[in-house]
Amino acid sequence: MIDTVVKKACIRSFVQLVFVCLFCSCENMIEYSPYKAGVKLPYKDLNIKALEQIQARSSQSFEPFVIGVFGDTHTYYDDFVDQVKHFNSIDTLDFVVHMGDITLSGIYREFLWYSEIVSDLKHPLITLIGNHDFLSNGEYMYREMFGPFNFTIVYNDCLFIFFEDIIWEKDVKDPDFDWLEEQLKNSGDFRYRFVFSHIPPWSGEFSKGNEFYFNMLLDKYDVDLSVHGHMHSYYLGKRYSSGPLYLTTSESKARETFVICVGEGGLELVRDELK
Amino acid sequence: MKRVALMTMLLFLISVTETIKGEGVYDESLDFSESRELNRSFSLTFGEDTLAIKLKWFVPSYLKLQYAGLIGFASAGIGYDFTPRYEGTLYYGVLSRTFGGSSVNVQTLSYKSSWKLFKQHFRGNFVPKAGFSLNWGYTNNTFNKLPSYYPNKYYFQNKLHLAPFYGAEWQINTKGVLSGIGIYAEMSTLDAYLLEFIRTKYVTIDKIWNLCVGLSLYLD
Repeated sequence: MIDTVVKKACIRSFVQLVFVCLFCSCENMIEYSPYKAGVKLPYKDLNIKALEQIQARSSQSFEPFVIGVFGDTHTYYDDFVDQVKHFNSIDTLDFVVHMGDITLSGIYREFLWYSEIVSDLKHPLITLIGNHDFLSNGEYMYREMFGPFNFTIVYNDCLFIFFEDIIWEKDVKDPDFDWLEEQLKNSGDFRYRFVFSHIPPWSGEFSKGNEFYFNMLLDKYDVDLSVHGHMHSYYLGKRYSSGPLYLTTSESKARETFVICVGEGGLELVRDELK
Repeated sequence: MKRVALMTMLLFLISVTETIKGEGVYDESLDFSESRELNRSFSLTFGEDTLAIKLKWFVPSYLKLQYAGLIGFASAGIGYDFTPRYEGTLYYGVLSRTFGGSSVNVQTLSYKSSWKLFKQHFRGNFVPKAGFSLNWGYTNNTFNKLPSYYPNKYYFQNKLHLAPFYGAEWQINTKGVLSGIGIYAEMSTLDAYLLEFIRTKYVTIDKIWNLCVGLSLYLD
């Protein structure tokens, strides 16, 4: 008798649990595979949409502006949420750039969770692809959710080049330097030139030749600042005897954000520590 | 990979052929009534004659067809009732342009260990189950061992995943070659998702589960 009562209670709770889960998570309830669930992703062309927003705000001549930079959020979601909140508290930001490594293993829900978190950001956001995002079918997820890997934008008479320089995960020897040089060579005369890429040239993926070549290109075409992620720690300085200033952003776990103020007199970096 | 897929298909075909052929004669001198696992026979009636057919040991206890559930758009499985409460099922699942409209091809081999949550066998009834699957995914940039140009232990392997699940099956008895059919629904998650649920406040319990539905065809 007691057995039957217990059994019935168990079955009832079990059915209830199934229904609770069914209703809680019905948004993304079907997942064909973690290596790419799908088919139709809930987010599409996020970078393309952000670039249109940024372009619409741009002026023909130079005007001072402020951009937020962070990267390597991986699965440090709680710190990442706080970083987004912090950027939201700065009203003067023109746009924000994520330096890549938005996932840990390039799997489906990591991409979804990233997009869910940044959907709360009130500023336009450009997301670069990192080496972790290339794992499994991450590169295909990125293409669908964000757009092409390499792109440029001119904002307030400043050139921004977003350059994908992943090597091992793509199983290539060199980044697409031809594309980078073409963008630098064919661009007009701008007040400032910025290059953003996930991996800095001194990281182990770059051969000595590529490290030299990357810096040489940036030096030749007068790039002012080269911004990177990947190293998980903050660095700002002139890495080589000639060439631009280099900045690497820290990982989310370090609980800090970066703001680049682009003014008449030069560039200024503000490093904010989160509480 | 092709060899594994071929072997699975071959095993599946042999099982089906053996079942349809129904080789073997039921030997009354043997008493199988003690264990359901050994009593692998069914009977077919032709007019006044009843033919008792004993299944060979390698003929699976059941076949499964599944939609979604981390192992592809569609998957097929064969399995055995190893004990009255433990079932082991080997699935082969596909996600591709044809199966699921995906821009990438993913093939998954999965071994699911499933336990009935209650002692009694509710054939023709509601059977709650829980367990876990070991999923091997074959697609771009998945590996057990990193290529030599990576530094040592640069990434953790991403080919094999553990996927816990819970669910239930509604079983109906039938007569003939199939002794029963079942319709099941399961909620599963992935080791990587579960880890983030434990590690972070952001990933809550409702963010990690997904649903699959399937059909079980019982042969004995």
